[in-house]
This record gives sequence, structure tokens and C-alpha cells, in this order.
Amino acid sequence: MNRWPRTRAALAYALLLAFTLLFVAPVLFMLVGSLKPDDLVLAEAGTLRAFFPDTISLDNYRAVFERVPFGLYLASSLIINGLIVGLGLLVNAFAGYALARLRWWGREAMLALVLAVLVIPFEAIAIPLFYQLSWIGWRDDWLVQAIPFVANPLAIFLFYSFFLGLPRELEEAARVDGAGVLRTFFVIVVPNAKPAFASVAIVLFLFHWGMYLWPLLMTTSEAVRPLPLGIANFHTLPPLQWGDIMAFGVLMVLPVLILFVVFQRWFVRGVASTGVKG
Amino acid sequence: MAEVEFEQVHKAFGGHTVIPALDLQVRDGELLVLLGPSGCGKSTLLRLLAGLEAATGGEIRIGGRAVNRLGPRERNIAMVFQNYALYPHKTVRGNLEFPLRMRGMRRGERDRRVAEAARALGLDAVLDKRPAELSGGQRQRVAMGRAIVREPDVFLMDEPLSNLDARLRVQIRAEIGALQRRIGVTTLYVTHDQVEAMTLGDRVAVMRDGVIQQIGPPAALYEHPANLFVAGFLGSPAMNLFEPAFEQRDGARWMQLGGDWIRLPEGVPQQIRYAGLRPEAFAAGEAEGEGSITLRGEVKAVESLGHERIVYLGTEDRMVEPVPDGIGTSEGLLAARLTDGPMPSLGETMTLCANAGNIHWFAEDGTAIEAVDQ
Amino acid sequence: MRDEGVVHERIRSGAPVNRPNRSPEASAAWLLMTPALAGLLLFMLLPFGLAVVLSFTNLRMGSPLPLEFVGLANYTLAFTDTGLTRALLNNLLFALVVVPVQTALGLALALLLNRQLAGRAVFRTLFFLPVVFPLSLVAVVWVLIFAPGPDGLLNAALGLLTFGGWEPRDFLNDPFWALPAVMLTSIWQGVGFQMVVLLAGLQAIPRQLYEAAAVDGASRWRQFLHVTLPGLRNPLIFVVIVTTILSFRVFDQVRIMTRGGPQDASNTVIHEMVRTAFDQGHVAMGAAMSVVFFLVILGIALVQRRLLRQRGEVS
Repeated sequence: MNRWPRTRAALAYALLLAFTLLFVAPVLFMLVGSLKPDDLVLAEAGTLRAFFPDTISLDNYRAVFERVPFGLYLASSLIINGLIVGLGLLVNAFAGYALARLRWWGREAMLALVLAVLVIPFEAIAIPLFYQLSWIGWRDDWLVQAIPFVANPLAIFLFYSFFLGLPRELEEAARVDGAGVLRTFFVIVVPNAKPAFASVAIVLFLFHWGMYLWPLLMTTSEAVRPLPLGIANFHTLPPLQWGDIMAFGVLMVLPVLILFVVFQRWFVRGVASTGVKG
Repeated sequence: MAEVEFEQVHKAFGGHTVIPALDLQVRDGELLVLLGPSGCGKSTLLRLLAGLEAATGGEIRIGGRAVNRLGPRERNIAMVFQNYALYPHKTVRGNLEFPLRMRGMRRGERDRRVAEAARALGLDAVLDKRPAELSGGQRQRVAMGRAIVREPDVFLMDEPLSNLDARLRVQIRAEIGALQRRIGVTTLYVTHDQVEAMTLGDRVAVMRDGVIQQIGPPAALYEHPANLFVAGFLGSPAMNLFEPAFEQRDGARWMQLGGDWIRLPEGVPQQIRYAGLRPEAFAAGEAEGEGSITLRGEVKAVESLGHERIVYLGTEDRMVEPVPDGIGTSEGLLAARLTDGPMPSLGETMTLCANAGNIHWFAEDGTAIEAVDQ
Repeated sequence: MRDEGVVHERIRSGAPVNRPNRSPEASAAWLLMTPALAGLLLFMLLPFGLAVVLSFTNLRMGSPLPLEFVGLANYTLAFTDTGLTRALLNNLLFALVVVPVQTALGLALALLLNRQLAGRAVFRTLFFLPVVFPLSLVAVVWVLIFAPGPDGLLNAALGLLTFGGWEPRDFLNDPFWALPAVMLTSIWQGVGFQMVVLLAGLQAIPRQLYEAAAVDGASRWRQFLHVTLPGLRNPLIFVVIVTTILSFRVFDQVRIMTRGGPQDASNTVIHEMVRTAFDQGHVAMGAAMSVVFFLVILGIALVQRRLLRQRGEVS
């Protein structure tokens, strides 16, 4: 492993660069497109100008805010995801801890329940859930886009596995030192479970930032619609102006990219951790 | 400060009984060592007292107060864990003051107690470090400190030295002993290491399969083991246990050991089945005079420790050892601890003698039988 | 804790003391479990039960007909009178192409990156980047990439590569090309996930195994066969299963890029379900499709459990 010939290295780099080109081209295309006059986006798509523009302007970005309520979409997305991640961390960590560490009747049954619903894909319950919530008149607001996703069997399972791996003596020492169950959880367990919280936060965020089907079903007013619906609507809003759409796209992915760059280690670890247990 | 009592305490995990029915009194201020092989229930006993496990029967009292239904928090005990269980996200100071905070102690008093404990344990310089930055010995001291700051009724220590290297273990062992004598808190100390038990304990309780085999001062246990298990467990190398042939003739009882028939003294009771001799009971050479026995065997191994040597002989005699279900035939060798005489070489036949008065006698079921002194 | 005060009371009032005291822990456990339990029951189990119930009725949006049970009618009709069969076949084809291609690509990238290499972190970041893109955005960008005519990015690129031999086409409106276009989009977005999981798996394989194999005289190819692949067994099963399940859940790209067209050529189960239940208002039929879809996913999940359990028995 430590000494592999130069030709191999060159080959590996050539392959990596080729892949990089394939992976980066669409992103670059979007970025460049967002900075070009609308009519040129499509016209120059087949030329090298698609990637190396001769004129640059921010007109498209202005248009995004003028033609659609981008700020509202963004605010909705942030609020909905804030609720899902914030409440999700709390609720699922609670459940994961109770399942991993506490002794109570019903523990086995609850664990079985969590593992069972892990198999139910959201799409399979979207229709009845839509009906169920419509019957009680709950739709078209931020909460209805967030609350159903707070309790998440995968998040519970990830927390459960992590807590199982924590040394039990820490909690026992805390109990002997005089902390109750809840105090032990908050003061001893949570500070030592930062990796789990980071991973679950990122998994929840990634899953729901791009959520499209559910808001499509549940919302009618622009004021509560999140970004994915925004771009889909924008895409069908005449006149079709690709520069604007690309600018919308850049703005939409920007918050995720910022988080990604800052917390890259945790992103990768979070996504990989969903695969650790299998 | 308090005495601790276990009365008919029972513990089962699922259907598996770990402790059948245990009675034990720990006196106020004493250091009692629970000694036994792994899986004998000694740690479980400690955890029952701490409230980390719930007893499935019987009563546990601390200072006369039944604590079965109390959580760990209300028992006013402190515990040192095998791996110390220091809170990794807290500094040494944070670790030491945690039990005080949990009891709602005011800041001034807290600081005073932490400073006192830190001084007593030589931790002043590392108060603001985190456990990961400490050496093994320092971590052990922090764990001790966290236990003493609170001035609990009872200390529980679960193999507190097993993560230290040999040299440090001796040093900290002495420190623990001194500390316990100074503050005089009732202490239960769990270990599987007989040297720790012998050096630290005011009394030692030897456990096996959830049953206390014998309890008493270390020397008493060593000199008068109550049964084959205790006899085999204490001492290194272990006591040599024989299952000799017996015969009644000429109005006396004879025992065959080392190929010779030995006439047993008058005081030896009738129901004996096994005979035990500690390695140090042997001397090199032929037996001389009444009451001495001679054994011969091929030298299989010699361990020289400088001031003494331990010689292992293969003998014709049937040897036994305690096994999980009682007593079984041993494949082992006869061990003798010798301080003088020529260095034996492997394969040679060696002659050893021992005073029959040093023999420990055991009955069929393994219980010890005291010979009546003549 | 307040409830521990209660315990004191009980002891003083002479309750039996030899019964283990577990109530504080149990009540804390239920307190911690209840929010999640409520969520799972209300928003997963209840609607799932409802899906099963609705699938046996004739419920339609805004229909004046009285609600009645129709037995298995929805299920038989779903396979004969709707696009479900075609959609299932499309999903199957999607899985048959995307799963091997995406896994092989992810494995190749992971292997390339699993060595001492300058710029390794940069490459990893770039390959992982699409995973953080919302599918809806990816779909819209790729609509533009697939733009028809010689000016379309992909058409132009293919023209360039074939020195003008490529006949430009309208990918998304071409019955042959629509589904492959969706597949390509999905692979681009998802392969970084595979790569990251497999890379983590590769790094978990002890170095000594390779060293031992090298000492035993194994070639690189044999090391790959006898050390790398067995070591990656679980991560590989995991990514294959997850990608298979995702292949049956495809919706966003289809909705935005092709709306299932042309002539159902790129229709998928979820897309057909949403179209039936919402665009056509046939809720009961949509619910029946949900149940069919769930059974498919359940089947895949059971295969996964069996595969992973076999491993457990061997080791």
C-alpha cells in the first residue's frame, strides 16, 4: 500500500479528475447559468460558454425575489426544518435512551414497534395521513409539515445504538452520586453523545430539506410552502426563464452547502452512520 | 458512618439465580473485602447495596435503615468503579464536585470540600484538567476523591486497582488502606486479587456461586480455611490437596501418602477424606521422627524467585482441586516453597518432608475438620 | 425527583420493602418514551392502518356515492385498469439498472479514495456534494441539461464526443430515453452516499489483513477478492438494499422531469399513486397502491434481514 508506482498514481488521478468533471459540471452549469442573462442560458448550453460566461450579472437573483416570494419559501423551509430537527433530537433521543438504558415493562414491545415502523416508507402512508389530518381540519400551515416527522424510527434507532455503546458506568456513577434518571440523561449522557446528536441532526435535516411530496399534498398557500415546492412552481411559472430558476436553485442549496462546508465531517459521518448498523 | 446488613438477600437475573440467600454483617468503620473468582456474585452484591440492581428478595440495611426500595441517590453511599467512570466532559474539579452539586450543597462549602479532598489526594495541580489528560494513577485518585468528598455512610469499591500497573497498584493499595483507616468509613471492597484482600481487609469474605464460604480476618482465613474452596483459593501457589487412601489397623488410623503408610495421631477425626498441605509446609530431605511424613516425586518445574524457590513435583499421590460442582481430580503438580537446600534439576527425584501437624483435614463435602490438639 | 419522595412515604407507611423498587425508573422511561410513541402511533401506525382499511372501500374525493366496502376490487383493478403494472415494471427496471451501476461506481470511487492521496478530502467533498442537493433542485437542473435540440448541454456534449455523429433528441419526451434520463439524474445525486458508506467500510478493514495477504503472496486482485469484498459485505448489503428501496420510492424527479410520461414510459409506483389519489381523486385506489408498495418494501427489508442474519450465524 505504502509504495505504489507512479503510473498507478497518475491513472488514479486521471480517473478522479474525470469523475470530478462529471460531478461538478451540473453544479457549475447551475452556478454559471444563474449569473447569465436568461436567454443565454439555454442558447449557450451547448457551448463552452455554458461554463465560462463572458458576462456576469446578478439580475437573475434580483428576479428571484421579485417574481416569487423567495424569502417566504426560505423562511418556511427554515422554520419547518428547525422544528423537525430541534424537536426530533429531543423526542428521539429521549426514546432511544429509554429503550437502550432504562428497565421498564414495555421496553421490549416498544423496541419491536420502533423496528417495525422503520420499514414503513413515508410514501405508503402519505395518502391516509393526508386524509386523517384533513378530516380534523389540520392542513396548510408550518406545523403540519413538521410535527408528523418529529418522531422518526431511524433517529430513535441511531440514538438507541449509540447509547448502547456508551459505558454504562458513567450513568451508574451519576446515579450513585445522587442524580435522578432525567438529570443523569441531561448532565451526563447528552454531553457525551454529541456525535450522535450531530449525526441525527444532519440525517434529519438532509431528509427533510428537500421534502417535496408532503408539502405538495398539504399546502395551498404560498406563505407556508417550502423551497422545493417553490422551485417546482417556479419551473412551471411562465415565462420560463432558466437564469432565474438557476439563481433560485443556488439560493436554495446555499444554506445546505454552508452547513455542509462547516460540518463536513459530521455530514459524512452522519450519512455513513446510517449504514453502520445495517 | 454505618453498619451494613444483608439478611437473606436473594438475586436472580431472569430465571438465573446469582445469589441464593445471603447473610452478611459489615461492622461500622471496617474494611470488608469481598473476594472470589469472577462470576461469584461479589460485584452483584456491591451493586445491590449501591441500588444499581434491585434485590429479588431479602432485606438490605444501612445503619439500621432498610434501603431495598431506595434509589442509589437516597442511600448515601459512594462508589469507585473498576474503570473509574470519570465524567469525560468535566474537569477534575467538575468530577469532584458533582456529587456535592447533586445534593444541592452551597458553593462555598463545595469549594472547601473539593479543595480538602484534592489536597488529601495530591490532586491540587490537576484540578482544571480533564480525565483524558491524567495518568492512570491520577484518574484512580480522582475516582477516590469523588467518593470521599461527600462523606458517605458507606464506600463501595469495585476492583479499583485492576486497571493499574503492578508498581502503582502496590502504592495506591497502601494509600487506600491509609485513607480508609483515617476517615473510618465502612467500606466494601470487591476484588479477585488475594494479595489485595490479605493486605487491605480488616476482614475478608470469600465468595463462591453467590454464597459466602468463610468470613474472618485474613490470617484466620489463611490458617484455618473453612473448606476446600477457601483453602485452594487463598495462597499462591495454592494449597496442595490430596485424596489419600485410609486404613484402620492396629487400633489406629493410617493414611497412605507419598507411598508410605503414615499412622495418624489420635486427635484426627474419623470422617476425613482429603488432606491439604501448604507449599511452605515442606522442607527438603527425609522426614525425621514421629509425626513427619515423606513425599517423593520427579521435579517437573522450578521457579526461582531469588530468596525462595518453588518446586513442582509429579507424584504418585492422587491430588484434587475445587471445581464448579464440588471437588475434582487435579492434573496439577505438588508445589513446595523451599528456602534452602541444593537447587534441584529437572527430572531428578526429590524427597520432601512435612510435619503432619501442618496438615489441613477436610471431610467428604469439603468442609474443614479441625484436628484436636494433643 | 419528586416521585422519589413518594417512595419515602411508602416505606414509612409500612409497604413491603423486599419488593424491588423500579417505579421511578419505569415512570421516567414512560415519560421519555411517550412523545416519540405518540408520534409513531398517530403519524405512522394509524395512517398505515387507515391505508389498509381505505383500500377496501370505494372512497373518492368529492364523490356523492355512499362509502362502502368493495373487497379486493381496488387491488384487482389497480393491476388491470391503472398504470400500476407498468409503473412497477419501471421501478423494477430502474432498480435493475441503478442499483448495480450506482454501487459499482460508488465502490470504484471509494477504492480510488481509500489511499494516501493528495487532495483526497477535496475529491471526497466534490463527489459527496450532490447528496446534499434537494432532489427537486437536481431534477430542475437536469431538465435543463437534457434540453432538446443541438444546443442542449447533453446533446451538445454527446455531439462533441462523437464528432457530430450524435443525433440530438428530446430525452425527456422520448419514450425510450425518459426513464434512463431519470435514472442518470438519480445516480448522479445518489452515488456519493454509496461512496461514503463504502469508504467507511473500507477503512474499517484492518490493515494487518492486507499485510498478511501480501505476505502470503496474494496479488492485488486476490487481496481485493479475499480481503476487501468479504470485509465490505455488510456495507455492500446495506447500500444495495437502501438503493433498491429508494428505487421503488422514486417520485420527485419523475414528477418534475417527466410527469411519468411520455405514455407512462417513466411512470413509477409512487407517482401513479399520487396521480390516482390526488390528480384523479380516487383515494381508495391510491390506498390500495400504497399497500402494494408497502408489501414490496417489506419484501426487500426481509431479504436484507435474512442476508445480515446469515452473516451473524457464520461469525
